[in-house]
Amino acid sequence: MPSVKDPHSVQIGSCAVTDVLSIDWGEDRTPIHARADDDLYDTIAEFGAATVIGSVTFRDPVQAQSLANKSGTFSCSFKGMGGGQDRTLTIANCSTGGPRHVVGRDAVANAVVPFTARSGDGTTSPVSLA
Amino acid sequence: MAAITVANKDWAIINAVKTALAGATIEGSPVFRAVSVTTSADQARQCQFTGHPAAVIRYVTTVDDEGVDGERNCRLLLRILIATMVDAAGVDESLRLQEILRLKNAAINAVEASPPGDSDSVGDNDFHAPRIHWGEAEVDASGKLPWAVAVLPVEFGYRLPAATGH
Repeated sequence: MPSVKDPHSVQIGSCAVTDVLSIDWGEDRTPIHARADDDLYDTIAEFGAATVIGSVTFRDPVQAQSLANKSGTFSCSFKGMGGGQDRTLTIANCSTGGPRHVVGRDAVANAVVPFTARSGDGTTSPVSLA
Repeated sequence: MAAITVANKDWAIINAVKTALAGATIEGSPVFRAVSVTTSADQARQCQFTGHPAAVIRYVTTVDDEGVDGERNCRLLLRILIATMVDAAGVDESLRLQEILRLKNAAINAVEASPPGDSDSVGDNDFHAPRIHWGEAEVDASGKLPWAVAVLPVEFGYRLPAATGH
């Protein structure tokens, strides 16, 4: 089955980083509820603006530090596997937070940089996967 | 046709191990009088050990794992066979065991004192290889009298920058 792996060419704004182990992201939209009365209650009418929350996990703590506290358009590429095509992830209006580091005694270091993004309106997604 | 280059790092590490064992001294005297390299378990067993103590480095294999940004994380597996003649027959193996363990530990110290320059601790989130990992030694101090023999497995981690960097 086609899939993707190996995140690389990771960038936010003009800041490019290497040594990325993994990327996770998810898009949430706030449900907008319909009016309620005694007979009709809590029915979802539509979803509102999108918020994206995710993180980038690094092997190199220095690379994680350089991605922290940035803003701009986030992008990275994945390699296609199992017959799948290479893909590019783009997230608009993105900003990154501070890194969280773990360095073990006998294992590879691990550093996570969180990011978040928000759509400008209720219909546009900041996430593009092409 | 593609123009390629070959780093041959697994050989460089084997050669560094050989140099470390051959150059190891205790109070000015060489620890091993003969150090050789082989690829065959049979050849190592049949070696006459004309000079002893002897160390025979047997190449087992090299494995590699795809790493971050196209790099390759590699492991080189060796067996170091150590043999010495101990003139102490009898049921009690104390002297023979003491001497073969001394040489086994000397081999470890020799390599740790001059670790191969190409070896390194490598890995990512699903693979990890320490720079040097010593396995469980098999010691036979009585089966081939007057020889006492130890077989010491060792692994070396090393990194290649790309799949074409072998």
